Amino acid sequence: MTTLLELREYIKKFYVKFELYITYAWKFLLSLIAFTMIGNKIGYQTNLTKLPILLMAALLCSIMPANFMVVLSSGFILAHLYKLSLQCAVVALIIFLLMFLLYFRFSPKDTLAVMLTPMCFYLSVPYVIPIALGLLSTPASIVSMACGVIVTYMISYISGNATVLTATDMESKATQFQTILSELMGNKAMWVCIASFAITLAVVYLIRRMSVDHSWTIAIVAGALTNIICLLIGDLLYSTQLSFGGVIGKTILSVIILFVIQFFAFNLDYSRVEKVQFEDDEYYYYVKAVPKVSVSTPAPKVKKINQSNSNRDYRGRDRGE
Amino acid sequence: MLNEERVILMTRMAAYQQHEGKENNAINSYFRSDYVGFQVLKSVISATIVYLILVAAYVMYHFSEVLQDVYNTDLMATARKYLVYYILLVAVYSVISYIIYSIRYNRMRGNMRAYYSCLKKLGRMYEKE
Repeated sequence: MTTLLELREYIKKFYVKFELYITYAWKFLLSLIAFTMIGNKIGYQTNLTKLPILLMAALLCSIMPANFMVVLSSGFILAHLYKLSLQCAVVALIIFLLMFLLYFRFSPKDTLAVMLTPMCFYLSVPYVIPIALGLLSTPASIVSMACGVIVTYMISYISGNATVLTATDMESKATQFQTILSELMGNKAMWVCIASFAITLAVVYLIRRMSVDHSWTIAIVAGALTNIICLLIGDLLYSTQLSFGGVIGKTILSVIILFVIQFFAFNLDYSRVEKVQFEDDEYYYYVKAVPKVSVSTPAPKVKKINQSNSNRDYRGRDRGE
Repeated sequence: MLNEERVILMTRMAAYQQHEGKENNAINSYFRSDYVGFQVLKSVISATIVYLILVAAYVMYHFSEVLQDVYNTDLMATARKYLVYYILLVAVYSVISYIIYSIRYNRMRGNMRAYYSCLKKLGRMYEKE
């Protein structure tokens, strides 16, 4: 355990030291993964699935604010869907516009959850999201998580029914908008998922805020159980064809990931290196303030192998000369 | 000579200015009523856009029925109904944004007060010398 803690301290130190570059790197990687996933799932616009374009877009995302990633991802999705059929793109556009206009005006910091939710679904660890948001965020994230779930189900519906949606006869084209919207909004599995995720997030948040020992661990376990129970109740009520084994397996996988998150994020202080400039009447100050790291790492031990060497100075000459 | 305590205080203040300070200064340049009112106005505009999108989606969804019924419906009654929905949406959304932005303004005032008290402290440090 102590080695793990030391490892965490090393990583923390490393992060504090190279924070600027790491921020660029994770933004780049995250957006690259997201764009690749979009391309894999609904890559109808083949030009946009080429690696150079993805790399360029990811590079752009790495230097822009995090929200730009979300906007660009929605742009990618819209472009792919437009190639498939106009109606799909319109449905997606409506959903994105409602999301951005109604909710993200208030909490622009929350937008990343919308992108991470579909990614976790795609990596088959969807239950990480409600618990992780409950641990790290506020109940307000329920809305952005719900948006993420809707986007996920929309993409999976469209990619699952691509052949039907590309039908060219006028009859099916005319009713396509209706079909997509009613299939999407009538998807009980989606609503059950949203409801149980929301309940899970709230439960995790409440437990995490309690002042008991190991509140984070309890919150994770309780959240996982709540999630399973809610999903099963939803399945019983609305017959969403949920596989019980799948839920359990994914939950176990998610809980493992969450314990890793807990290990790194628990006691997370958001203090970081500050570089500031100011002046008074006498001086200009260029200050770099580095936060103190709490758990100390062991100092490297120096073992003297040859005692006679200690009599020599650093140039290798004997001190007696 | 460098006064260490003063440098620490100034560094903290500068760090605050660098992060939340910019945003808070922007908010602070408004009166409370102006700031909240402006944000509510923005909300009204975005609620209007949302409503238009929703109506357009509704019409597209029930396209054939809307076309069939367009001549034999009471247009005034329909318009009144839609107007009521619109006003409801705008009202709910405006109230929510009013509450949120009032809270934000109050929080900003608190932060500003703390900042000004730091400034005063700094001023006293200079006077002492």
